[in-house]
Amino acid sequence: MPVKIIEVDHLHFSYNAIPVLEDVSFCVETGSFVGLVGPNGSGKTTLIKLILGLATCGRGVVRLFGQDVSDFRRWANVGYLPQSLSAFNPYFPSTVREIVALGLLAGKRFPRIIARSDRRVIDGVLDLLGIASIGDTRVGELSGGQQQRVLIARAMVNEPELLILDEPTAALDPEARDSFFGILKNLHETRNTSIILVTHDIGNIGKYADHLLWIDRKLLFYGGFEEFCRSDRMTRLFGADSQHIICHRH
Amino acid sequence: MDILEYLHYGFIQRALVCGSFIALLCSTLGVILVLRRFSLIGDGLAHVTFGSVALGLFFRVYPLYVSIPLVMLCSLGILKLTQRARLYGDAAIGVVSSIGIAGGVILASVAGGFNVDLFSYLFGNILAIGRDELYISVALSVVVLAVILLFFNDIFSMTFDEEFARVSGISTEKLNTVLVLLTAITVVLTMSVVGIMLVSALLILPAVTALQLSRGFRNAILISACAALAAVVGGVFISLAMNLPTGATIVMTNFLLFLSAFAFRLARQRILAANH
Repeated sequence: MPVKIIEVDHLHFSYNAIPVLEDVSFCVETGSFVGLVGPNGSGKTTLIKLILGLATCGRGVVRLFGQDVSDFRRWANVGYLPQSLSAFNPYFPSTVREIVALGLLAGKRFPRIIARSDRRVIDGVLDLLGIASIGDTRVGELSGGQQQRVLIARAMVNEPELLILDEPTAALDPEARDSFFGILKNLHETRNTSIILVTHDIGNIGKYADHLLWIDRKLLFYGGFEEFCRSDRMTRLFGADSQHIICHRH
Repeated sequence: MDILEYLHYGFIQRALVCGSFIALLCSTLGVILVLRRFSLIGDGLAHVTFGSVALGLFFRVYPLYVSIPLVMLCSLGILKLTQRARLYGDAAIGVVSSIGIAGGVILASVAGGFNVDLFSYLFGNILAIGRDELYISVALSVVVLAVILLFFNDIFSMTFDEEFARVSGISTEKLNTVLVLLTAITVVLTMSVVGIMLVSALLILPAVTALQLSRGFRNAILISACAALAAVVGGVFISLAMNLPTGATIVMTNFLLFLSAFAFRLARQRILAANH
């Protein structure tokens, strides 16, 4: 029976008195694959940060796995890929394996030590993402696409129940992007991993996600794809072309 | 006099033991601070140390006892200014350090009589370290290194990506506080080795030397520690052999190691490029 893993209730957020999100409410159940879409500056990344407790909401409630996000401690259940690769300092002395190992810390108690036995798990996820051959390479020496896959591996290494990915395919070439979506689909289908994927790639999201969450400061749509495709309101909001692209490919 | 003969002297033994512990401390923290682009905090806190030493001398209290709590307090001030007053780290360091220097100058001027003492703290004298200072330095170094070791992976995660570290359940706010407090203790202890003016060199130079050569994070800290130890031990003996000021010689030895590492990296890159 599906369980609510994310509950967002009447969420408001302002930055410097400018409203970024207004009265957003929705629930995500286990096993959902949600595509979070919206124009630039629509509040997608802010919404993700509020869900993860990285920003504090002005009004409203966010619950993760039934717990208020400010009290949430079961972080091993959540995998996260941040939006920006700019955090990647090219001079940072770290190998791919070291970075991926950081993903395991959420499941460890103090003092969070990476054991030798963790190496098998790390190698497994590197293999899955096709980056096993660069395990000992310094991250600063990798291409943008490879760096992105390293961060995806870090998000996935704990086998989390919920994966939140903020524009994960931005730096990937079409082949790597298709392969990445294939991996997500596999995770979703075989492990029942719930996924929230922020993307501008509305064509591809229609192929993989089973729910669509469309925001532009306010929640414009949340529901299944069939519902979206039949919605006259969506046609009015986005125009027949935009809706057609998503529905056609689904 | 050869090197082994120097080792018979108590003041040389104390200098080497104390210098080595502080070198380990600075090199480990230095890598973290440099990668977090917060390395100038060493310089800023050194300036605060100047003010706190002046305060200690003014009230005739052993300066280390005044400096440690006061510099720790100011390090928290820098952190809070960065977090709450919407200041970039360098600006917050600038605010606190200038107040430290100004306070020290005013106290020195008002007291009028301890300029010579203050001068000795500015440039340090590792060869003049007494037993008490040695014990305090070693004990605090062990405590600071133990804390870094215990939180090693948390610090690594936060240094690489603070947002991800928070989503891993790491309390980055507390960890940042711990890090600046450890930096404050390190700066005060380093003052006796190279003096207030050169504290940041001991934090930054071994770290940037390691960044020329290392592939991984642990590897960087190991290389940084080796470079710092080599510079302290080498610097002490070179200064004795050539009758040079020890603190400044340690810093110049560090710089030579950095230049060597830099040249080695360039040469290695050229060889690799030629082989391709």
